[in-house]
Amino acid sequence: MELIISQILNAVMLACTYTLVGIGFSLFFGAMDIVVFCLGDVAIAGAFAIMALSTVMGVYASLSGILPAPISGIIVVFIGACFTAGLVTLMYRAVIVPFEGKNINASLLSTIAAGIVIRELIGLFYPEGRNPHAFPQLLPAGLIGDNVLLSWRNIIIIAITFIMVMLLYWFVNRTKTGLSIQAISQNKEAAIMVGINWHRIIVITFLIGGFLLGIGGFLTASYFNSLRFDMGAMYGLKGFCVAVVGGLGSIYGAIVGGLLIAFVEVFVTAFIPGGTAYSSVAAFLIVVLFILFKPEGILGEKTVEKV
Amino acid sequence: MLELKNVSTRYGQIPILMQVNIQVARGETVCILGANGAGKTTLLKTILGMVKPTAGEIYFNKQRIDSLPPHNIIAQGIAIVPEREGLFPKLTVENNLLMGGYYEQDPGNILARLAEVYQAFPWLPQRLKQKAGTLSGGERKMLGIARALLANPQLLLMDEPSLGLAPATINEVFNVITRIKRDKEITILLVEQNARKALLVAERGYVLQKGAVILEGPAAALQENEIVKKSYLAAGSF
Amino acid sequence: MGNKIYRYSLAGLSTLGICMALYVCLSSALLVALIVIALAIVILSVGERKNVIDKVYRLIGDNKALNLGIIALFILLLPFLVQGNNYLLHIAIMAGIFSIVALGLNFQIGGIGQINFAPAAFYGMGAYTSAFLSVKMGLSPWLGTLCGLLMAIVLGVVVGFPALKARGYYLSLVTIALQIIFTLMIVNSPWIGGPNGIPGIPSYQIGGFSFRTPVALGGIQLPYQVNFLYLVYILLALFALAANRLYNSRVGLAWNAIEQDPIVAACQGINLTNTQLLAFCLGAAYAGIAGAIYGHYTSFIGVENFDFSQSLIFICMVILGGTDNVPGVVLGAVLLTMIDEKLRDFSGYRLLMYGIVLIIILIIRPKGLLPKRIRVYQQKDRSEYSSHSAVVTGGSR
Ligand SMILES: Nc1ncnc2c1ncn2[C@@H]1O[C@H](COP(=O)(O)OP(=O)(O)OP(=O)(O)O)[C@@H](O)[C@H]1O
Ligand SMILES: [Mg+2]
Repeated sequence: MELIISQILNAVMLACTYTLVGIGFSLFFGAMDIVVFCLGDVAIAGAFAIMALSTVMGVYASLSGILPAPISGIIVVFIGACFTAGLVTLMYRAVIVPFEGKNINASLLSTIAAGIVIRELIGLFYPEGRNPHAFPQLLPAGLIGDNVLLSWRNIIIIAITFIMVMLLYWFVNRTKTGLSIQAISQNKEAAIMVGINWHRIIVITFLIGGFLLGIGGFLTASYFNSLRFDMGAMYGLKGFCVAVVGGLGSIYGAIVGGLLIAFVEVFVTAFIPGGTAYSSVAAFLIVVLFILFKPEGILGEKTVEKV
Repeated sequence: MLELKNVSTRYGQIPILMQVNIQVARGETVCILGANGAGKTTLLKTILGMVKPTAGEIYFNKQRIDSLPPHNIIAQGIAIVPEREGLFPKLTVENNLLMGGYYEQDPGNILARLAEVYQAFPWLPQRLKQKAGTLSGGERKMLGIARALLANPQLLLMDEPSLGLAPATINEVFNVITRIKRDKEITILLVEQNARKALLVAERGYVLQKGAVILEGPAAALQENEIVKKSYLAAGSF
Repeated sequence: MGNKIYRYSLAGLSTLGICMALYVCLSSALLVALIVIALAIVILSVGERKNVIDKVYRLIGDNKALNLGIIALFILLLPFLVQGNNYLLHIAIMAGIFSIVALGLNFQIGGIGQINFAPAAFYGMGAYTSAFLSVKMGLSPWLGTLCGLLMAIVLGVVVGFPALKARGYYLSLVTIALQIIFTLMIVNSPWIGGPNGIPGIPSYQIGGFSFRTPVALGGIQLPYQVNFLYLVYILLALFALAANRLYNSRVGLAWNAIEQDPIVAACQGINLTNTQLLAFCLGAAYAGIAGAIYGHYTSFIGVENFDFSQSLIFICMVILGGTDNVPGVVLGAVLLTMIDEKLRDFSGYRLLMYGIVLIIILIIRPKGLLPKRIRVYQQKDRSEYSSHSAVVTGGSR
């Protein structure tokens, strides 16, 4: 029983790290009908930015001198998330705009190439970039009670994800800009006809999605306690899987999809002998099955094939 | 108020509009008649800047607008009732309406206009929380009109407001149009297949054929015109 | 008559020019190679605008035998041109092997318009099957290669089935997932070497002559790579001709119809299941053979040769060269192999430059170096050229 509960907790945390990047995929797919394959790398770049701020650049240390530790932590993470927001918007300009409305395959490849570029830039130019790094402990590590998994860090990871999703929910459903994002993803032409500045809304979508990605990268690095320059490739793929399982384009689907994939991974690892090696295999198999038998995802709406 | 001078457009290499000249004066209702594929919708999209003219000039309130992006043109006071599929299916009726008032900063004005719109379409207030995609075809069309009214435009473009509606609903829609004309002194550019109705509400009309204006004149004159009679008022089309 | 000779020599000269350009790329430093490629892009772009490229195509098409002869001669002489430099020969062999894989992948990308992200899995399936059978079971490499081919086809069916149900991004995710599952399974299978790969793979033999023995040709001692060079390029020629035939046949047309719109294609009486599966199985067969040869050539295979990034490289080759255009795909594969090898000098920067070069090329030539050609329905009677209809298939989606 103890084991199962701790594994559930573990899975929920893993789901948190997947959810935010999955939301990124869904957000951009909803707004532009494209899959941006470099999101995982963008998120990990954000984690590297946060790490740089707290170690080599010493921003965290100097902030902690004048502010309480949690606040300087929040500031550092916020700056990192702003960095990814900028980065993903730059990606939009550099590798998505040139292919807009032209050729799906070209934009697919260009975003994959952009992922490679980001990854390699980190590997080349971050000090000791190709070695694994221990991620700085910005979240308090103390335990709550005597369950190893019930630490402050884990609770905070879940809380941050929850807050982010709630904020996004509020933004998308209660603000004019958020409604415009939805409007564009549902009917681009009608959105233009009511006078929505399409381009501006897309950029805002990318900024918001990028911000969430930065937070996601931070959570991932905190969860694994380590950071590698090439983590982004797998992280991005998992995020894409999560978005598809939940229903590509559905923000809430990303939460459900994140939970599903994370539970499969954690439980295969924990309860199947020798399962560690096959946890990703199981996750990907689930995705393949979903695509084959329920391509609209769990929460996505059934799209009728047009004749 | 609106003036198109020698406007031509094309999709790719295919010319759609050829040297179209249209004027609409303030407070006037002008209708545009034309067969399917004549380029009527394209004409409206060209006015909105969604299709860029390859030649010619468009003026709105004496200002040249043909090189502006759509949102800047719309912000100057133009709204459109889209032909079909013009709503946001997964947003609620209320949010769809509010998208119409995209450029209104003052919430008080929006509330006032909502009240007006509810008066014109009494069924709307009960449906506010329903998803627009679940409305019936006629209801959608009317929601499209309501949304355009919420923008309180100086110029209202209507793309076949009677398309796909039952005769009784068509009457209702045209009653609304008449009422808007009477109460708000709005300028309307109406694209219609239902020529009989359109020529009743409009003061003037143009006939578009294969992208070119082949006839223009006061509505009464058009009603008597042989071409119009034969193509658009033939027996059976109400 | 004079005109004919003039056209004949012009055609020969253009082919010769292409061969020489490739040779310069192969034998010189990265910078020179990049300059040659940039020049080629400029020539292609200008040529397209002035409609010269079409003439060159027709010129080359009208004198097929001559041009194939020149290319064959070029390959035949290549070992002497590079003076037996085994590294350059190695690059040429790899270019040939990758070309075969890319041609196979093109059946999916160019043919039915589905990006398959698992070509390296097909390629790896051929390599691992053949290597395993010949190392652990002592099977002859020739038979092993055949088995590799068959196993790759089996995998082709496995990957192809999802393609029947999913399209676009969904299919890309399925194929990515299968590719990753493939690599994970290899890493986790100690009986095929796991992460350590399979070393000591025997080479092909013909009647006691091992392909791994150097040969003396025309009084010059040439490294063993020559054997493989000729083997690979003979196969490449066969496969390229077969691909070309297919593309111009009803099958190619059916593929393109599916690419445009599967539902309409089905309404036209095209059997979607068979036609799409064929694209995957044929592609897998090409890749399987190439993989098997690769294993027997290098004598060592490891999982890193067959992972997702290798798949990406194959896809880049097809897209860069020009989808659904056999010469284009081969050109793309050859160029990228050479660039890739030359980037090894900058080992740390290799992948970075790869990504940047890819983005730049996608932006300036999104349809590839040699874009898809217009299908022309005339083969028999050239005099009626102008009266026949031409149908554009494919294009931007
Ligand atoms: N996006 C587009 N790309 C290419 N051609 C288009 C496009 N939109 C419209 N057309 C073509 O332009 C022509 C005019 O279309 P338009 O929609 O303006 O006609 P219409 O007069 O509104 O017809 P209807 O009464 O059927 O609504 C048609 O032949 C149509 O096929
Ligand atoms: Mg129309």
